[in-house]
Amino acid sequence: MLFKGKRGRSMRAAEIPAVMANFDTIAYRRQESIARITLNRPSAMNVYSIRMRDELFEVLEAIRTDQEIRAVVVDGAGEKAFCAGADLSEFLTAASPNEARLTRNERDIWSLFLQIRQPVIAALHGYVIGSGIEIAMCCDIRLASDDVRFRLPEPSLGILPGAGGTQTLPRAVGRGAALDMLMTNRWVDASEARRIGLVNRVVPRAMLLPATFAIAEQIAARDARAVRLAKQAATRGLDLPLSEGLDLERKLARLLYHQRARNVDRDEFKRG
Amino acid sequence: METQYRKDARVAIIALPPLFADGTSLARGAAELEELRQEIAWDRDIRCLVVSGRNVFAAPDAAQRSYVQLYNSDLPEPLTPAAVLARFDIPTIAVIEADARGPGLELALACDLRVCSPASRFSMDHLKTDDLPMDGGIQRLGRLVGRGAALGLVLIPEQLDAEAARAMGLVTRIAERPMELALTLANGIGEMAPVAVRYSKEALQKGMDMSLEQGLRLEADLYFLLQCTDDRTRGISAFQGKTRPQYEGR
Repeated sequence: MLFKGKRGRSMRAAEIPAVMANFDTIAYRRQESIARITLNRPSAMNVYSIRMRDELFEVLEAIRTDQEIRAVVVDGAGEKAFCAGADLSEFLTAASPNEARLTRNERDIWSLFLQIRQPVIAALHGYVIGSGIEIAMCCDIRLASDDVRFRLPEPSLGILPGAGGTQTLPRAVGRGAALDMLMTNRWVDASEARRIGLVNRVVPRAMLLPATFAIAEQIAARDARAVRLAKQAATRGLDLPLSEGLDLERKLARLLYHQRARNVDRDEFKRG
Repeated sequence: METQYRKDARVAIIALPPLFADGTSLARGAAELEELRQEIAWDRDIRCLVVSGRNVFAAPDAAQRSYVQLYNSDLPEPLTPAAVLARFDIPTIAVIEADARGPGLELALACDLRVCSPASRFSMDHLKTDDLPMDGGIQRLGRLVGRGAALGLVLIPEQLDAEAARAMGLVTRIAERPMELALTLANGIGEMAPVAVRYSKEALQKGMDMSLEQGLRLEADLYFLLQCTDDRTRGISAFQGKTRPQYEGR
């Protein structure tokens, strides 16, 4: 099954209207420099579908290159769940594993998600299962309400996490805790999630969005370039040997000061 | 063979003999374990391995000397027990009934999950006798609990109690009867789709030694390879039909 993407189309997120009506599975809103993506299939506990992949792909691609957006919030609509996993009704419909693999490589939503330059903050509530955890792990900061419940059921369903979960989860919580979740299919509640580092902060349900936006606003108020470079240094640097990570950090810091100096020159030039 | 092996439904249970008496017993223990590993690798009824052994994780002081003997022997590439444990493709659970220290802790670190008793104590105390971990301990410890905590344990060789070990991620679970809990966990793993379990373990353990980009590729490739299994169809169909799947490992 091939994706229905409009190839070659690129839209700046700022050009996407503040509230978009033409998405089925997500809602996109922008409040000044903060973008908000809401997984929006509340009647199906926001399960991740092919349609959702295509819509997320369009929005994330636009956000990634949009200088005006300084922080991104990802949340889930409805009372019950942030995201209760993948839409299993769509499974077993792929033409062949080879074609599925080609589709994945051509429309690699998870690599795109992990390459978003702005900090991405997840607001997690209710059920966060399978792909829901994987979406959360593509975010940089995770807040959860005290009713949150995590679970990775893939091996008990005869499948594997395929949205980066076997890679992103252990990088956040360590291999011991990640293997424990993956091999036992058990529920992890808010306090355990906080203890093992699955989430950064737990708040009462009513405070989830206000607390998330408070962080987004703090980030949006800082120098956008410094924020993006810091995220890049931290995420890419952890994949490198220390010496190369140190080189990268130094290079990015010099880039920042070089650009700042150039801006000062330009401003002085303008002032005459 | 001193290493005892039995099967309980889908779980392999290995009771290790005292391994650390001298270089010969280390080599023999590793060879026996490797023989079992190869047998288990082709036994598709087995879905999980539980590793126990009377006091084996509380290695005696002489253990370090045994490693020196082994590494100084004529064997070109001496096989060690921890190296063999790390080779299993099915999930492995170490049952720590008493303490885990030194080379014994290194052994437990080569398993995927560790279950201990509330009275268990943990230490990586090689430096107390001017020795170094020699069976992968420093590498596996750092990768499991992070470098800060690992350096702390190695450089300040104090004993940790079970709760502290759990807090830092060194042990997975604490139970009054560790063997019982390990068997419960193992039986739960036995209910899952075996190929999916093995691929999950491979993606996670191998992927953590790669860059994120490479790891994502490994996971995706295993994900598509898994689409060739009957079990995947069974699992998804069972979910869709709200029944309980029976997996056959094909």
